[in-house]
Amino acid sequence: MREAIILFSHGSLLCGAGQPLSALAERLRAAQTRNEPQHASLVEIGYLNYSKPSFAEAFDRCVQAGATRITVAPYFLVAGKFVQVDLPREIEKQRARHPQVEVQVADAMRFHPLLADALLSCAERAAPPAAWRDILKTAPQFCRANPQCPLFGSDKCPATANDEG
Amino acid sequence: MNDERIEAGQQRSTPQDQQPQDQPCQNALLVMVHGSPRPESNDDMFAVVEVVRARGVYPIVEVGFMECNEPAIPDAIERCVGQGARRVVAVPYFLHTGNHVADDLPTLLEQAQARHPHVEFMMGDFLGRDSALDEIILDRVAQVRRPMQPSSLTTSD
Repeated sequence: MREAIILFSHGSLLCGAGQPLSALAERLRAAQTRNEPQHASLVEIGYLNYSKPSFAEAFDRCVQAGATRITVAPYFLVAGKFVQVDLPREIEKQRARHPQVEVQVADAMRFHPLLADALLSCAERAAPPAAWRDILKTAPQFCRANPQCPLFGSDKCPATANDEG
Repeated sequence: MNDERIEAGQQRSTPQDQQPQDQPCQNALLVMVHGSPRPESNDDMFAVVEVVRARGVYPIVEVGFMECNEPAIPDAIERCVGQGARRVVAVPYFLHTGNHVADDLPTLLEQAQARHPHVEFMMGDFLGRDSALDEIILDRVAQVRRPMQPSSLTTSD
């Protein structure tokens, strides 16, 4: 029996938008291996829209890696429509494809005292105006030349910046 | 070149404003939230903000919404300034680096800075970048996992 966790997220058109979640997944993998070397859970990210891997792809990866039980953890602050309507629909599709796999769904983050710690830590890392748009500067590092990215066609997009001189 | 930094929560003077004040320089925390057509979706966020308020790090704590709910972010900034804030630290209550965090929120803060040149505006990291989320996710997973091998599922708090 092998456990897996799928971090279920919405997805974004902006290139590089998934970096914080990828980093979180990487930290969880490291923690799992450290704490439970014999029973470490697989950790995958599955997106509902726009970004890759899709939820179905994440599910397949887990199954191919031998997962027999998957816990889906919504990477959402609020359990709104995406979590309450879209996620169950996605899960039903995967249950039909992989009936042998047990699936559990965790709650969204909602209220947790650690969110207060997170908020205060984020405030401690506050930056002055010159740094407020740094995300737009780092997004090009993760450019996928996606025509739907808000930067596509602008001089900030490496894929299109040189097209129009 | 590094001048002395005084830790948050203590008085500090802003270089722009030399006029004597009989009240200490007030730090405000502004929580910038997306907003929802279902106002009850904000209940959990408000509960988190209450915890932050109770910690007492910031004498002024306000919530401002981008869409759907009141107060709008510019109005929440006015509330901070109206309570005497000389420094506003604005934190995006967002998990993702979408356009809101990358562009829309900086624009709102720049407009506020132009309206209040004597107030120091700072923008915090967005919530999704904080590693405290790791443990929240693991807690949520632990809450639904039925135990299979008692030894393999240890959660510490």
